[in-house]
Amino acid sequence: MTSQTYTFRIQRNMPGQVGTVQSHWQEYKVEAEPNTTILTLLETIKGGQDGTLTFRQSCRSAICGSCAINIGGRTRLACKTHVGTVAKDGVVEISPQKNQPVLRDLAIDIRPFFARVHGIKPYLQEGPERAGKVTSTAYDQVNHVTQCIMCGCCYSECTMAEVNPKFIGPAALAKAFRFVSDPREGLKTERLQALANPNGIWSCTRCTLCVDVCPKEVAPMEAIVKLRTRGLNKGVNTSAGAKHALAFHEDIKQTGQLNEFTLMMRTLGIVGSLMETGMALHLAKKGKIPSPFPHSVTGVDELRRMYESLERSPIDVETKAKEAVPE
Amino acid sequence: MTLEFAYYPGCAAKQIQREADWAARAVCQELGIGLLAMPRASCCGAVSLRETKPAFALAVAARILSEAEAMGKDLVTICNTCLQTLTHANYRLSNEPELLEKINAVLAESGVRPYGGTIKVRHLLWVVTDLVDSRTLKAKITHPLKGLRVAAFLGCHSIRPEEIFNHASNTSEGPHLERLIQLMGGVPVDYVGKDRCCGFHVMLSDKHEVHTMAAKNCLSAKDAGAQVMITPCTLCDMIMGSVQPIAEKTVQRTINLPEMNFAQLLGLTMGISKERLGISRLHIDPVPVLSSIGLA
Amino acid sequence: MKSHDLIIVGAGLSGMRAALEGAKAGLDVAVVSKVHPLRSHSCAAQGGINAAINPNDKWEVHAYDTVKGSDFIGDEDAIDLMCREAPGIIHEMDRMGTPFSRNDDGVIAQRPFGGASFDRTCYAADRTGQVLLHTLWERLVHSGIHVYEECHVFRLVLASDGHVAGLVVYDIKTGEIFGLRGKGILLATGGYGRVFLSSTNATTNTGDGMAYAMRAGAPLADMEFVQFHPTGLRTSGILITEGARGEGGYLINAEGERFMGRYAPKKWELASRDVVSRAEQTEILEGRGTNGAIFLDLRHLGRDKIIDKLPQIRHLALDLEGVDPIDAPIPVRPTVHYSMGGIRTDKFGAAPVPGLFAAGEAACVSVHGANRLGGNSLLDTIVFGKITGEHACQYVRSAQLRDFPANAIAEEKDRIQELKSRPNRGLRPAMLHHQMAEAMNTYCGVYREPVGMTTLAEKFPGWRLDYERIHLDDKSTVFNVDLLRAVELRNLLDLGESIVKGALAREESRGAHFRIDFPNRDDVKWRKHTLAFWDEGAQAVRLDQEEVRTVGNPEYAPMVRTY
Repeated sequence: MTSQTYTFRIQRNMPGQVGTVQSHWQEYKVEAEPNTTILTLLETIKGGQDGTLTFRQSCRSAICGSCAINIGGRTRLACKTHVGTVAKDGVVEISPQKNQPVLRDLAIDIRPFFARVHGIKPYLQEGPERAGKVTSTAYDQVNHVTQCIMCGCCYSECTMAEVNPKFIGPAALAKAFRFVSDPREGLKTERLQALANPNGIWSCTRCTLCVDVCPKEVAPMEAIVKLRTRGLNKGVNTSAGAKHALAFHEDIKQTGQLNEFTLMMRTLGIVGSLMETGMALHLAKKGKIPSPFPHSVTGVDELRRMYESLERSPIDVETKAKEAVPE
Repeated sequence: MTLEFAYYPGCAAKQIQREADWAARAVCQELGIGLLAMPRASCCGAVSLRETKPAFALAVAARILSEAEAMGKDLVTICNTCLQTLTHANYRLSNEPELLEKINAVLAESGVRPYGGTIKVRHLLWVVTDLVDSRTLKAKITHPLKGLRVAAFLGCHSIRPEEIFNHASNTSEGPHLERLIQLMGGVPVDYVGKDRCCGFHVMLSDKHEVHTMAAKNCLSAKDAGAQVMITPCTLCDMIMGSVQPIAEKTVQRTINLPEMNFAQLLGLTMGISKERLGISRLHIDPVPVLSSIGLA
Repeated sequence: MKSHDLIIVGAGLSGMRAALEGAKAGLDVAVVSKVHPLRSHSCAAQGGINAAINPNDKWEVHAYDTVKGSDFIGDEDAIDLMCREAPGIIHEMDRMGTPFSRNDDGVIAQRPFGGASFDRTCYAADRTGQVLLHTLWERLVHSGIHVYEECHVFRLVLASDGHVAGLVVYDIKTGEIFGLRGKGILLATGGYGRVFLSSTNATTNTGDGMAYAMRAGAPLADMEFVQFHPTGLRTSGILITEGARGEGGYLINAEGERFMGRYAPKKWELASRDVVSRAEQTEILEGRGTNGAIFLDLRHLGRDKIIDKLPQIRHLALDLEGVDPIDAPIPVRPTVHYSMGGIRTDKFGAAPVPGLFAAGEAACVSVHGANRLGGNSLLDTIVFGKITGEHACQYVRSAQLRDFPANAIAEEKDRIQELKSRPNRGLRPAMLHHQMAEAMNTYCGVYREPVGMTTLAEKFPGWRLDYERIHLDDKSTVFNVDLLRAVELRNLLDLGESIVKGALAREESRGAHFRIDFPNRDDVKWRKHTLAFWDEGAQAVRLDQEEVRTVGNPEYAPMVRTY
């Protein structure tokens, strides 16, 4: 492999007056082979060109979670990102994580992120739902989430966090799932109730960005989906999101077709639907009123039979394990 | 080669976003792509059925895929969420033989033809850009965009997760939607937000946030010089179109970025009439912009 | 000035486990850490943690393996204590929530590791340290213990009577320098991999606690025993777990020969780490390596086993070396990994300075002697985190807060101000660091010879002068990493000097310390610990010796060590 000159275009941030940060972009040139990591090159710049360049790092092996920064428009771990894969015409653009307050250059203030993690009570709790024995397959459900290193890549890219800083966020919710699905957790239902509150599991947009940016294959959104399922199974179904989800399977079971009129009614209730008129009026102007009486698809009885069959003898499709995980 | 597909427009295109369905059919007719009806196909369950009844969701998807398989055709859709839901199910059913066996047992017991795992799920956009010969396509584009600056809003559910889409949505030549814009003679606008979320799936639970999302993404495109925005998804259409006027109030800024389904703009470049394409049903009137390049 | 009963420095496994003892005892405990607890380097431990939990295994056998592994210089009272406590620790971590890998019957699974006579290493895939660290952090959050996060300790402060008084602390986030008073101080600051250029360690592993303890008058012990891990990645030095060999991986040379049989005919790749590293180095020196590396071959394990048991190392090999172990052998070489030496303590973690305690890699209790067995470091951190924490809590119950010397904070502020006020010419900290670390790798490696080591030892006075001339580019207050690196560099110089002086003095070969001029172990002269003190007058390290603590068990009598 041959080395070439790369330009690092780095967002520099200096704390200004209380709570403000002054930003500018600065360019550095480094010579490197395409498979050199971004972290190595940031160190080269800091050690040889500019000692003021500030970033966090520690383990160099994608396990401590320190070096998540925005590289080429995506939040990634600098220690496992090769310069050749992110450079565009030899230029690599680097800035701090998004959706987080910046302390200095590429270092963000990690406290708000961890405050959200603390908020989900990130520890096993004693309680009545604790199982006695741990089976060999007990962690098949939680293994992917225990790989989380709390680097914050997912939160930085989260489309809901971008517009709602109160959203608990993918990392903390994945951590919550780790406890809800641990056989030793004693307060699973209580957790599910708390997680169904506003800014919790039902606020995830399902945009799937967290799944793709996660450097540890945690798939936070999959954990959020499973939290929703567990919540509904435990009767935690009063939030708008939960009602919306329930409406779906009723519609499909009854008619095989999603009915957008009744969907709105069920999700928000009558009053809620009327509140929605802002949008409904806009739709109505264009003659876009969904029919309250959709036609059934052909063979809807098959759907009902499938549904009933699965109610009689459920299949665990959440894990690839051969047997269902007892909870 | 004749292109024929089992056509799965999705619930939105059957109800609120009918214009996308009209445009898809019109465009396919021009290009000689056969869209065969799937009378038995139910709603895919979207993101929600997987949450309420994960096994039932897979069975529902398997039943839809099985219908296409019985027709001997790959399935094509114009809704990103249908695309992701069915691709996800198809990915699992094709890669986990035990799971396929269990789900097929449920189908068989309910009188449904078991699914053999042989069907590909495609987006109409991919068909147009990947399977239709580009010379054929260009020949049909009689009213090119003449350098119109078009924002491609990709829509989450046709590009993520990479694990199930991999090469299908990520080609070295860039996103399909941007390639199509170039084929139509337009200029794709690069803007922050093109691969982000429209917010459809939290529309009812987090209304205010959805307005902000829509506004941010539209403004970002507008500020980058976009004259019109297209999406490959009926759900994105619904938000970026109908929510945009409401979102303007949330952010207290005029956006006024005409938004439409990719098939509608493609249809216009093929000289298909505005009426057939349902252009009048759009929330932000594109006619002033389109007339500037002689398209309306 | 704030005060606490017990202040723990470092929030890795030892520090957090010790802190939980404080919470249990109802004391006012605080933790100071220069990184967020989850960034601590304990997370990088991959392969596992040893404990005789199988009914067919015995803690006594584990203890014997450890004594033998230490090359008969580990302190036997501490080794017995650790191995006896080990099963309880595993079950405790399991109860706290660590997702250990299980056998089909639900029992915690164990894999073979080097130097062990039983399959004794419990694990969670190949990220055991990470799950243990996260579990203890969960308990720490639950306990509500205050953590001074991203706060760097600049000095360990003693009162006029020689008892610990507290710490001078630097808040990295704000640049504020403040004092903390404590009745007891427990140092759990980990190892010093950065003394060497190539290391499996994090860049934050600068052995700060060891250096501060030595400057405060506490001796360091056995600093010459530096463990070279047999499988660091060729380019970056990043760790590839011994678990890879535990799962059946081979070491092969450039000719494709599985060479370990020539060096350890019984245990092959699962001989003790010092033995394997020397064998690899010999292969490389004799021309049977490629670009300074030999190879770890996992291909015969098959795709499924690699993905199931060694997922992380597959990614590391792919990301950092561009090699998929499913298809090709991984280039590896002996790489600095672990410090057997550290702050000298008794078996309860107490250092000879009153009120000072140490645990984990920062301490030399000594359970590892001249060579640590794989799977014993995670065990050491948690067992002695607990025991030392317990013992320190007992101690501070009856101890008094001492007066904090008035000038300590001002002196540190002046030191920092002076560093920042130097004009921007001369060396950057990184350049001086590179010089020293490169020389340490060259002259204090797997094989050591006297001329090189003498040359190296003689460089330290010059480097100390250079240190007085380094400058900082960064004069600012918020998150000044340039400043931290400079402060850490003095610690690295102190530790580097103690390592090379110890190595030069020890005229024998034992465990990880191999002298080509003294290739044999010499139990008569050298079955002793080396102690390193800071000589304030000479501004240099001076050495002393101490006897090994034995328990009179005839099984532990030194014998020829073969694998």
